[in-house]
Amino acid sequence: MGNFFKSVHFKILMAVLVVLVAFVLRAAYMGGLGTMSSYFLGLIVTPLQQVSSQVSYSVTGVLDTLFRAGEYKEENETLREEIRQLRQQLVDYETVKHENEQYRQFLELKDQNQDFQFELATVIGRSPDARFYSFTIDKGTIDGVALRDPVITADGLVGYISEVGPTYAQVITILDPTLHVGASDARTRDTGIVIGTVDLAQEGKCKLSYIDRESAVSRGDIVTTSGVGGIFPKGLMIGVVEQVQVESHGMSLYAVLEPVVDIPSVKDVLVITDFEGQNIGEDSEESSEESQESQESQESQADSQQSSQPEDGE
Amino acid sequence: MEKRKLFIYSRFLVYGAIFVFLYVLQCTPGFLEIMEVKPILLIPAAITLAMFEGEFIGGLYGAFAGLLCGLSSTMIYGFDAILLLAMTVAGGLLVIYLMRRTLITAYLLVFVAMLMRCSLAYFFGYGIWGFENGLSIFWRSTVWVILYSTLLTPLFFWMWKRVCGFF
Repeated sequence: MGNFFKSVHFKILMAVLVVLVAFVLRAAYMGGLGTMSSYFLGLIVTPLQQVSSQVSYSVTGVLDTLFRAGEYKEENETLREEIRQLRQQLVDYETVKHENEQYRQFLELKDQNQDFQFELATVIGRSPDARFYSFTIDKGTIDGVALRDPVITADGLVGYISEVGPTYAQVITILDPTLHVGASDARTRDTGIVIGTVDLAQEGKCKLSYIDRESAVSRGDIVTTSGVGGIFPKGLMIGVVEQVQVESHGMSLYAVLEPVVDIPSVKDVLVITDFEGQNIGEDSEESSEESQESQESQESQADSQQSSQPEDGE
Repeated sequence: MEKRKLFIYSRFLVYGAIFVFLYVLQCTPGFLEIMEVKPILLIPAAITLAMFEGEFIGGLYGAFAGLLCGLSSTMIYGFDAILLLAMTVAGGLLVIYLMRRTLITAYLLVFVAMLMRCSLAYFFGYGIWGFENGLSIFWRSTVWVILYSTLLTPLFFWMWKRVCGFF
C-alpha cells in the first residue's frame, strides 16, 4: 500500500483531483454557467439523450395505454361526472359570467404579451436524485437560453433556468423551496409568494404564502405571476387554490396550490428567452440574493402584522 | 505486436462509451423507474470497474463518471467527480490489498459508496437548507435510490468481468 502513495499513478490521480477541485471552484464562481468540461460532455451526451428520451416517451406511451386501461376507464367516468356537474353550473348565469371574465382574462394573456420570445424545448433528462422534480432540457446558450429565464408550458409556469450549457439547461421547478415567485390571486388581486415545501412537493403541489389575513382568497381561485422583480412576466398561470389555511405564526394565510402544469411528468416546455421588463429593477446576478431578501422582508412584514403585500416578487 | 497493444488500449474507449451510454440510460425519463425511484447506474459501474482495473484506471473512470453525473445533478459541478475519484481509488486499493474480488465485496463497496454519496448529496441538497420535514425525503427517496442502485450491482460486476476478460 505504501508503494502506491509513492507511485506515478498516485501523483497523476492527485493531479486529476486538483483539476476537479478547480472545476468545483470555477462552477461555484460561475454560478450556474457550465464549465469547459461540462460544455464538452454536454455536446456529446445531449444528442444521445434526445434520442433516448424520444424512445422512452414512445415506449411509455404504448405501455401506458396497455397497462392503465382500467385507470383510464375510471378517469373517463370521473371526467364524465365532472362534465355533468359543469353543465349544471352553466345554468347559473352569474357563475358563467364570472368564469367567462376569468377565462377571457387568461385568453387575452397571449395578446397582451406579444413581446414574449419563446424557445420550444424538450425534457431530455431527469436525474435519479433530481431535486423537487428538476429536469434537463435540450436547449442552451446557443439557442438564446440564459440563466433565470422563465420556463412554462401552454398551461402555465413550470420554473426557471438554474444552470445552462451550450446545448442543455437545468430547470428548477416551482415545487422547489428555494424558488420564490411573486404571485397574485386573479380574482381578489391579493398578492403573496409561491414557494415549495417538502411535504407539498411530494404531492406535486406548492403554496402561496404571506397572504393578508383579511384576504378573500378561496378554493378554486386562480393564481398568476405578479411580474414584480423582473424574473417572471406578469400574468402567467401558476395554479389553482385548493385550500386556504392560517400560517403557523398566525399572522397571515397561506393557500395550497395545485399547479396547472403536471410538473413531475412534463415533457415539452417553452423557455421565455425575452420579455418586456425582464430583469428591470435588479441586476440579474443579484436576483437570487434579492429573492432571499424578499422572503425575509415578507416574513418581517407578517411578523409585524402589517399588510403582507410583497414588494418584490422573485 | 502493435496491433495487440492497440487492441488492449482500445478498451479505454469502450469503457468511456459504456459510461456515456449508462449516463444516457440513467437520465432517460421513465427508464427503470419504479414508484418514482430511479437507480444511479454510474456509481455501481465505476466501483465495480475499479475492482477489475485497479485503483488507477478505476480512479480515472470514476472521475469521468462523476463528471457525467454532475451534468444532470443539482449539486455543484465536480462534486460527484471528486467523490467518485476518491471512492473508486479506495475501492480499487481495498480489492488489491484487503478484499477478494467477489460479488459480495462488490455489493458491500457499492452500498458504502452509494450511502456516502447519497448521504452527502442529501446533506448539501436538503439538510443544510433546513427545509421543514426535509428528512422525509431521505427516507422516502434517497434510501430507495441507494438500495435500488445497489441491487443492480451484479449486472455491472458481470459486465466488467466479461468486458475485461475480452480484452
